[in-house]
Amino acid sequence: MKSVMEWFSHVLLIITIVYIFLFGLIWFYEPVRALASGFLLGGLISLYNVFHLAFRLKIAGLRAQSGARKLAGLHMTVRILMIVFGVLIVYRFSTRIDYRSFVLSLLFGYLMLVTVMSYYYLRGKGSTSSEEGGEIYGSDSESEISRNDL
Amino acid sequence: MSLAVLAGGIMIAFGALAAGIGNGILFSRYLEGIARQPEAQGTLFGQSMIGLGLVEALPVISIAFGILVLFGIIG
Repeated sequence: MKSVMEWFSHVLLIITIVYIFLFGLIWFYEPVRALASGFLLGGLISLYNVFHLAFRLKIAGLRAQSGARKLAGLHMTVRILMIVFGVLIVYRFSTRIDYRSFVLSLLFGYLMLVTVMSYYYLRGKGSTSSEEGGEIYGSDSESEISRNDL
Repeated sequence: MSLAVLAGGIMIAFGALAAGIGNGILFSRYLEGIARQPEAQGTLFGQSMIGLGLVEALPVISIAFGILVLFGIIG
C-alpha cells in the first residue's frame, strides 16, 4: 500500500503538470498573456512551497523517528524567500506579469493541499493500516500507549 | 515615511509572526506525536499537512501584498 506521502506527492505532481499545461496554453493567447504569466509564476511558487513543506515535514518526522539528537526544522524562511523572489520578478517585469493574478494564484497550492488531503481522509484512505501499527492514540485494547498518556 | 510603507511593513511583520507561531505549535505537536508513537507517522503527516496548509496560506498572501505595497505597486 502506498504511504500517504507517496500518494500526496504523486497527486500534486499530476496537478502541477496539468497546471503548467493549462496556463502554458493560455499564455499563447496574446490578450491575456500577462494574466497567464502571473498565474503561472504564482501557482508554481505556491506548488513549490507545498512540495517543500511536505518534504521538510517528512524529513523532520524521519529524524524524530530515528531518535537523532538534532531535529530538522520546517525551513519556513526558504518559502518566504521564494515568495519574495516571485514579487521581485513581478516588480522587475511589471508590464509582462500581472500582479493581481500572481497574488491570487499564491493561494492555489495551499488550497490544493487542503483539498487533496481532505479528499484522502474523506475517501477513507486515511484509516490506519496494519503496517502503521493498527491502532493509534491509544484504545481500550492492548496498545502500549493509553489515552491517558497522550 | 509614508503610511503605505508603514502598512507594508506591518503586513509583512505580523504575517510572518503569525505564521511562525502557528507553524511552531503545529510542528511541535507533530513531533511530539511521532516521538510518542512512531507508527502513526503516516496519519500524523496528513493531518499536519492540512493544518500547516491552512496556517501558512494567509501569511503568504499578506507577505506578498506587503511587499507589493512597499514597492509601490499597490496603494
